[in-house]
Amino acid sequence: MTTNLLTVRWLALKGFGLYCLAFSASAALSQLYLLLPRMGISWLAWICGLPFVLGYAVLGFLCVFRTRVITRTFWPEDAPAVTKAPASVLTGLVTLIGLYFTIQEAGIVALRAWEARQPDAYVISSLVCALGAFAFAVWMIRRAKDIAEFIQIADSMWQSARH
Amino acid sequence: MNITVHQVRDLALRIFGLFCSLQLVMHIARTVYLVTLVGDISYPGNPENEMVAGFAGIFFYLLATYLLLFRTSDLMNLIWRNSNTDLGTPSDQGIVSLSFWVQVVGLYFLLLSLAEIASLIWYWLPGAGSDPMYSSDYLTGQTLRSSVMLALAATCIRWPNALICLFRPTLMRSNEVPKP
Repeated sequence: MTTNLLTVRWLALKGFGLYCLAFSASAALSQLYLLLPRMGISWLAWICGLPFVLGYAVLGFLCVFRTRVITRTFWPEDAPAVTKAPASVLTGLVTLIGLYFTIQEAGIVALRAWEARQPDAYVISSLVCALGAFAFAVWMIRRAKDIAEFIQIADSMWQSARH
Repeated sequence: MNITVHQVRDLALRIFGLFCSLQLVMHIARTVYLVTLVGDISYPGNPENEMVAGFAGIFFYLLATYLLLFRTSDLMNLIWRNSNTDLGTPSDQGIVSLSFWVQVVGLYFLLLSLAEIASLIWYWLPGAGSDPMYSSDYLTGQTLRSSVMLALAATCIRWPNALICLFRPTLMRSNEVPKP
């Protein structure tokens, strides 16, 4: 693989976008239990928390699926150049971000499992949600290749739609 | 410009050193804030206890910053023992391979979990005063969390190839993936 500045930018944006998407999915999954009526969380609190998750999701979507829009905005001189790293590099990137969230969520699962010694609705539902976020991170690693291929296909489709 | 694997590893460790120096500043700021809370009866916790735990965190980050920034080569010898691969360029030594990056992720979590454990140790010492905000149950949970993260981080650093072999069924579906 020839590594040049454009490829590095492309990879950095994709990596950051993947992190944002995984973060928003993981945050949403691990907080799902707060939706249960018995938790007593007000709708106002929910609405206040939503822009945080949505903001990460939108930023992640732009960086992953609209990388060229971002590069054109920040580096207009690069506009004519078409950059794409091999799917293998993108697969590695997805795997690494999956690994990051797997380690983080494994710690949270251990914490919630410890708290579940004295089970109540709060503890059990938070444990289930933490397990959901952990499973999502493991799924990212296991399906890294498919995710990378999907991103590349979506990227190509967007590019061909523009021309 | 050509860059060797040795230089890439050196750069990665020094970036972590800078990260630790930032964490150090944050810990100092937090501990200074706790000093101002000593004697404040409206504070629900025990500021003296938290201050000592804060000092433990400061000590850890100070040590980590020193080791990562000024003893980089010693750490490199500790992490990457087979230094005979150090001289090539990243492309022919597989720096784009996963094993190096798995170790980098592991190092990040190693630093975070060790810093947490350094702060938590104080609360477990027999002479430490009680803190209403840090019950024994809470501390056990946090210690478990940090220990799990530490164990996984150590696995990432010590056996990155074994982890990659675990992912291999999906990663190796085509021949595009570089060798670990």
